[in-house]
Parts: sequence; C-alpha cells; structure tokens
Amino acid sequence: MKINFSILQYFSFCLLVLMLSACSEEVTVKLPSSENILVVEGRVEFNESLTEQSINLSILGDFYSNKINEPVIDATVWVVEGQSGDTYEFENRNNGLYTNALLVGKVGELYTLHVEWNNEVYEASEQLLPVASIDSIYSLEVATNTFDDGGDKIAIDFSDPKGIANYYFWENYQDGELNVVPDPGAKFNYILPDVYFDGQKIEGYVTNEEMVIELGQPITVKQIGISKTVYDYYYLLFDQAGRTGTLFDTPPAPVRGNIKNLTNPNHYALGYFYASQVDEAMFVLE
Amino acid sequence: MKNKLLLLVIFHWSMTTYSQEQVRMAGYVKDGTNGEDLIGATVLIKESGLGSVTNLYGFYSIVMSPGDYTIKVSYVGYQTYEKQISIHSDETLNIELTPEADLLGEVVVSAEALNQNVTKNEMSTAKISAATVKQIPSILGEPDVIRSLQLMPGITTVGDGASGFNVRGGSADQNLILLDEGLIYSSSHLLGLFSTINVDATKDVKVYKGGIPARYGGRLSSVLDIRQKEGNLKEFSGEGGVSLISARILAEGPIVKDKGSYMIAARRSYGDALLRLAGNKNTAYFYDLNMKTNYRINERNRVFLSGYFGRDRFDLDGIVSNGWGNATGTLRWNTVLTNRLFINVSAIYSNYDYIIDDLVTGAENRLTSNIINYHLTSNLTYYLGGDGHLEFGVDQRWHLFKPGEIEPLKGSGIAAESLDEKHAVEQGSYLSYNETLGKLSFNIGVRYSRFARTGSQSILSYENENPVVYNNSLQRYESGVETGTIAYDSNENIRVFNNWEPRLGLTYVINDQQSVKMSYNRMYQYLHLISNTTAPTPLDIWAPSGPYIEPQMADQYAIGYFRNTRDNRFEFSAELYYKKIKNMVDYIDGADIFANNQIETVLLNGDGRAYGLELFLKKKTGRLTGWISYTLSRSQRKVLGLQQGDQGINEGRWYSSNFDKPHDLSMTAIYDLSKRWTFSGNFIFASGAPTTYPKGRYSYAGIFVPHYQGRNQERLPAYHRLDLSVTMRSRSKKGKESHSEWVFGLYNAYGRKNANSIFFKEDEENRGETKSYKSYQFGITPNITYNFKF
Repeated sequence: MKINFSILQYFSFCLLVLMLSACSEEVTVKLPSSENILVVEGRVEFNESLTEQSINLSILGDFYSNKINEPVIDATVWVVEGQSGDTYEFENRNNGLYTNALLVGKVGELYTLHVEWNNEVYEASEQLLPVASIDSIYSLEVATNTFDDGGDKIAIDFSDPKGIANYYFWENYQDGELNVVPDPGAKFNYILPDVYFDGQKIEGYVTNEEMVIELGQPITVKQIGISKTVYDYYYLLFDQAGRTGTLFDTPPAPVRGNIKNLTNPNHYALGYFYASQVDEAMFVLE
Repeated sequence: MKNKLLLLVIFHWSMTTYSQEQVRMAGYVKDGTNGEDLIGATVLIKESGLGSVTNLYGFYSIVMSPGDYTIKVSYVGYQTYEKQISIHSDETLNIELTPEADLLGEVVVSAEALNQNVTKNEMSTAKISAATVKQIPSILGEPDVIRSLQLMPGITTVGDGASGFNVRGGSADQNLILLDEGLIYSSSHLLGLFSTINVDATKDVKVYKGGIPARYGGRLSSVLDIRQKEGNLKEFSGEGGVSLISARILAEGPIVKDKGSYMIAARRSYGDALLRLAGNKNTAYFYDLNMKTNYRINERNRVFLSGYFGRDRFDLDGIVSNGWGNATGTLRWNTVLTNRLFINVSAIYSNYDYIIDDLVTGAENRLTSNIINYHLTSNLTYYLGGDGHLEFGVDQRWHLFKPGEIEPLKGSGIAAESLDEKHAVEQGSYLSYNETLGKLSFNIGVRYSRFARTGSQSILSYENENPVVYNNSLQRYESGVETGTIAYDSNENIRVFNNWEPRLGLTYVINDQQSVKMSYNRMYQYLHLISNTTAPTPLDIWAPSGPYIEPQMADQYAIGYFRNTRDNRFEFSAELYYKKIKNMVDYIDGADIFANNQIETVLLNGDGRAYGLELFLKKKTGRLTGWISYTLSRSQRKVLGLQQGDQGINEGRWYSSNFDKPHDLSMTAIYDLSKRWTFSGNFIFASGAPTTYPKGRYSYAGIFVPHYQGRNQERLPAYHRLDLSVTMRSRSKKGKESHSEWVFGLYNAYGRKNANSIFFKEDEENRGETKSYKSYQFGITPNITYNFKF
C-alpha cells in the first residue's frame, strides 16, 4: 500500500488557502546577540556504505548573521561503546567536523558521546536501532495538485517489521548534496512513525515531496532507524523551522536534545546525538 | 436534606409575605408588533416605586396591597406604556409595547431614556443590539456579533481573523457560550473570519464579564448568553441580506396567531463558488441554520423547541476534505404557578464534531472527533414581596468525549485506531437571593458543582503519579514513566470533584443618576480546551478534568461606578477588576497535542491573574450615538517547576499570556444624517500581542533553526485600525418602515498592516539566510451588503 499521513500538513494548507487576504512581508526587529551555546550534530551509524563516522560541532549564531555558523575547532571528541568499553577518539578536522574511520556501529549497542570544550564536558548516550532495508527505489511521476508542485519524485518500497514500534527518518542526497526544505510539511515527510502501518509493506513512499529529480542526477536515499525520542526531536525541530506565521502555528519553543553538560547543567547544549542502522539506496533517472 | 432546607426557606418566605393581605400581578412583556418576549423590561408601580424586571423569558411578577395604581412599563427602543389598574386579587397582566419608529434605523429619539444601567443590580455586562451590529463596519460586510462585542471594554481577540475571544484576560475556552441554553463549543466560522451567530436570528445577546449569576457555571471568565427570536406571533415576516461573501435569510410567522410561532434562519457563505470561478479547485464555505418554534398552551404554560446547526466545509482538490461544526437542540417548558413561581425546564443536546477525510489513493481514511453533551436543567424563580426574588435550580450534564477515531475508507490499508473515549457527569445546583432594601440592592448566591469522571476507561498510571517529569540533566520536560493501567467500569467513578461557588452582587444607588456596584464570583471549570496555539483551531479537543487534570478555579472581584448625565443621554461607567485563576492548563515547550492519547504528559499546571480598569462612555440618543471604551489591564501566568532544579516557564516568574493587552481603546460612532443615510465608524488602538523572538540560530539536519528561550517576552507592534461604513435606506412610504438598505463599508480604511505575528525562518529560496516576516490579515477591504425585510 501507499501511505501518506499528513493530516496536519493538509490542515495548514487549508489555512493558507483560507486566509484569503493573509499576507506576509519581511521585517527586521531588534534581537539580542546570541550566547555561546554548543550545537552537536551527529550519529554513530551501522552502514555498509559508510567510510567514517562524523560529529559536527558549532556554536549558536546571531539570527540575522546569515553566515555559516561558527564551527567549534578546539574541542576533544570521543565515543565509548557500551559493552566493550572501547573508546574511539575522533579526529579534529579543524572545520567543526570530528571523524573516526575505525568505529563500526553494532545494532543494540549503547554509544556514549563525550565532548570536552571550554573546560566543560558534555555527554549523550543512545542505543543503536535497526532499520528495515529499502526493497526498491525508483522515480514516480507525481501529478500537480494543491499539495504538490508535481514532477518526478524519488520513491521507495520497504517492509515494516510487525509488532515493533518503528520510527523512520529519511535523508535525500541530490548530486551528493543533502536536500532538506524548511517547509511546514517536513515533519510529516522526512520522519514517520509506523503506528498507522505496522507490519505492512509500504510502496511508493516519496521520501522528499519537495525534491524534483532530473535526468542523469544521482539520488541517494538513506533510511535511518530512530527512537521515539529522536522522532519527537526531529518533529519539533521541523515544526519550529517551518513556521507559517498563522495564529495556528505551534508557539515558538526551544528544541532541546539529549546533550547533557556534566560540568554545569545550566549551560546547556543544543542538538542530538544518536545511533542508527542506515540503509542506503541509489538511483539515477535515465 | 438540602431539598428539605430549601423548602423550609421557601415556606418561611411565603409565610412572611402572606402575613399581610397582598395581591400579586404577573405576566409577560412583549413586543406589540411581533409578540416577541422582551428581556429586561422594567415594570414599575408609580405610586410605590416598586418594580420588577422581566426575566430571560419576558416574565415579571410584583406584589402590592389591593388598590388603584398606575403601572409604567419601559424598555429601550420602545414607547413607554402606562396604565391605570385596579387590583383586588392576584391577576395576570400581559403587556405589549410599541417600538419607537422602526428598528432598522430611522432616527430614534427616545421619549425617555432609561437608567437601568445605574439602578439594576448588575455590573460587568455588555449588550449589543442586532440593529447596532448591522450598522457598524464589519469584515467583508458580514454583520458579526462577537466582533462587535470586542468594541466593548474587557473583550478582546488575539489577532485579526482569530477564532474565539478573550474576556478580562481569560483564555478563549473560559467563555460559556449558550445559544438558547445549548452549549456552543466553537464561536467561529472559517477559522475565525466570522462568528457562528447569525445576527438576524438573535433577539438578545449579553456577555457577563464578572458578577456572574449563580445560575451559570462551568466556565471561568464569561458567559455569552444568546437568545434567539421566538418568531412573529402576529404575521408572517422576514428579512435577509446579501454580502460579498455570504447570504442570509430569515422567515418567521404565527402557527396559530398569538399562540404559536416559528422562526427559521439560514446563512451560507459562497466564497467557494467565487474560488471555483477563479479556477481554484479548492472550496471552503460555511452554513448555519437557526430554528425556533414555540406554542402557548395556555396563559401559564408555554413550550419551545429551538435548534442550531452550523458547519464549515473544506475540500482541497478532492484529496482532503474537512468539516466541523456545532449542533444544539433545546426543548423547553415554561410554566407559571400562582403568579409567584416561574419554572423553566429544559432538555438540551449539543454536539461538536470534526471529520477529516484523507482521500489519497490507497490510503483513504477518515478521522472523526466528537464531544456530545446531554443536559437537563430546571430553573425556578420565586417572587417575594417587593423586588425580592429567589432563584434556584438544578442541572445535570452528561458528557461524552470521543477525541479521535481513525478508520480506513474504501478498503485502504490504514490501520483503524481510536483514542480513549472519556465520560463525565457534571451537576450543578444553585440558590440565589435578590433583594432591594432602600438604596441597596443585593444578590447573594451560591452554586454547588460536582463533576465526576466516570468509566468505562482505562487510566494509565505513572511513576510517583507524575505524567510529566523534569529531566534535570537535559533541562527539559519529558513524559513520566508508565507503570500500568487501571480499568474502570461504566458505573465507576474515576475521580470526583465537589465545589462551592459563592456569588455576590451589591448595588448602592446614590441617586437615579449614579450608583456604586460591587461583585464577587468564584467559578470552577471542568472542561479544558487543549490548545497551545495563539488562537484555538477547530481541531483542538476538549479534555475533562480527571485523574491528571485539576479543575480550573477563578475568583473575581469587581467594583464599579455608574453614572448617567443629561437625562440619561450619556452613560458612563468605570470598573476595576481583579481575577485570580488556579490550575490553568499550560503546555511544555513544543507540546504536540494533535491526536495525543496521553495528553497529560504534555500539560503543566499554572496560575493566572488578570486585573484592569475599564472605562466606558456611551451616548445613547440623538443623531450621533456611539461609545468609547478604554481598558487598561494585564493578563499574566505563572508556571512553577515540578521539582527542585526545574524553574518552570520563564523561571517561574509571572509572564504575559497570549492575550495580554495593556492598552485597548475602541471608539464607535454612528451618525444619522437623515432617514436615508447613516454613517458609522470604528477606531481601535491596542497594544501589540505578546510574542517570542529568537536568541539566535543554528544549523541542524541541513536547515537553520531559530533558537528560543522563554515565552512571550517581546511584544508585536501596536495595533490600530479605522473602519468606515455608510448605510443608505430605500425611500419609505409614509408611516411605513423602510424595507431595504445598502451598506457600503471600508474595513481597515488606511490599510494598516497589523501584525498577527512576526515569525522567523530560513528563506526557502536563498538558503542559509534566516529572516523575519510579519504576517497580517487584512489590507484595505471594501465591502457591500444589501439588507432587506419582507
């Protein structure tokens, strides 16, 4: 079967349709300058196509700065594998990226990230979750309608394991570039719980409704198994990033992840560290 | 036991009032042209100065010694009626008043303006007549009762086109909206553009902002009591209107002349047809139906049947279709026993539901949600000597909540899923005593409310009974740890709440032109609208109090000075109020409330306070009429942490609620140039709504995300707007009413782009650039409406 469970997305479109004369225009307001808050992005993967694990560190920037956020280049990063207690040091690439080519994720294993920066130690743990594999990948011609600009979209088939609560996250790479749109629909598209299709074979799931693929362009889809808490994190993140300005938006809220500051809990960090099995599939439209 | 006590009290009063030889006159006051009962008309015995005000059903009752008297009956907009009577035994006297000129706007010069606003023991109320609503400018020319009420002090909205309204700093779910006693859950059509009330079908609209009488209960901040027209008892008549967006029509007439009548009104928007003409495949429209019929069995008994059915429909490209609406039905019986006891018994049904059909091929499914309410109520008024009367009654409501059910359609593979049904029984009984002693009138009342959450339902239990816990190391709220479930049968109580709600109102009349009033009310609210957006959406669900949600409680104190001048041509009032709220529902950061079966895991519990000064000046007569209202107020919340280390929301400090508007000024002026032309205008100036700005931005998952800290620490730019309208009536034949009129309007005449919100996000075209945008609802919006009568 094909699934598309985007009630709220539709609802927000209803609102847009309805707000006959609702308009928006760019304005600039006075905002405070940002604090030095650490942002951690990364996961340990069990992924056959992966050559190295990576963690990205940056700091919060001014809202109007419009520059790439300042990378953190003076931190020490290591990951400890639960059972073995093996420690994997991550190499500082001096651009905010910290990498390790030796660590191979194992399903069910607990991974703990440590970051030492500015004399404070941050920590986050997550168990590596499995994911169903992508059975097939192909292009799907989507007709233009109210919700979709139409065009060739990337679609996959996969089979959800029965009796287990699974949460999915998809990353789409177009010509090697991650394609993510801060759209109100993102929270119903890039992530999905299996509550409404537990144990079924899903056919023709469009993993990025906004991405139109072109002839000869290599497309990679990563299917990532995540926990409910990671799902909730992404949901809120996409929600906060895709605001529409109506009176029916979720109110602005901080998106707090799982990074603990062991030295000073009040000096929190943003972002999420988790561990996932990742199944990749590649497609080129000919 | 309680009943016995009540009987004793009544017995005692009857003995004391019967001890002298007295007779009683009672009856109904009606409009002479159509037989409609008049609510709040004054019936006065000139010789003694004693009087009575007609109740919600137009009934009055006065006691006096046998003899000859002059009675005087007055009501705003009607000619004063005087009659010599000679009364020697109990008598029924029904009185018909003649309207002054016509209601559709000919120059009304009241022969004698009234000072009820000064003398009546009632404060913190707002009333508006249908005729005024139609004259003042409106959005897209659709006369709107609730928007018009927002021009009164203390009644506000969170933004243009927002659903719901806020009274004295209370949230939208704290308003009890009653249409002929039936509960209306959603006051808006098309997500807030229009209100669910068809102005033609209403006879009387009144808001209690404070000093709420004991007969009302269940909501903290206000009562919006809407009474529909009963229907013309004399002759068939009707009215209607066509605006740019909708058409409405009403017909009424006798079933049996002077005995029974009916009223039926319908309204539908046709913006959808315009959309379709414009080649748009989406439709959005609303319609509503109002019906009422009544029959007078005899002088003492009358039955009513009334109903309301309203619905909004959206269809998007045949892929998704939504519908939601309210339905209510009321069967009511009024009877008068011995001229001193007036009894109203009603059986009421109300239902709010929404349906979403998702018709994506292969995944067709339907989501439905319902809240159903059966209500039995009896209200009795027992008239003592003089002005005194006792009101008492009991009511019982059965609530059924079906928050959400998903079913596959057309054999699709979507798994059926259902959120827990919830059941509750709400009971109320009240007694209130109204009396006037010289210059002092008082009203002492108490309401006893009981709310029982009943089975059948399985209730989840959490570790340490905490459905929400604070994660100290991550500094965020999380769901509590589930420890199991307890199953309750349909006859079992899950949790029961019992509460006393005292009410008090005092009026000291200094002279017939000025008075001082005071009131106090305590209210409990057992149903909560789970909504964390700025304005409620039609998809928000109502949650009953129960194991994890405490009832909300409010105490409100108000004091006011009321003054009329220049023969009651000007009406002035100043009121101060202070409202304290306990157990307000608040939400953890980023709470996801849609189709959440464990809503308790995202709720926080907070306190609220609202206080303010309301000034109101009204000019009631002359060519120029209108009013100015100004409110200086605050509405704040405080949410403390759950445990050590948890600082709650905004470090546990008082912070502005979404509807905190320190300054709110509105002016309305209506100028009757001639019988044909009327000009009117509104001007509004208010503080911008509280909002939250980001402290920075960061990149994650390939997008830039604004980072927020704290809530409602900033404010949108000030709101101001001018609306204008002109009414042109057709020439009327001599002595006859004008039968049609054109209303031309300009909403937001100088095109102020009032911000509904300022929001922050990454530019979808220029990736990497984060920007802020102001979203606003209306630019200059012209409109034309045609109203007619037949």
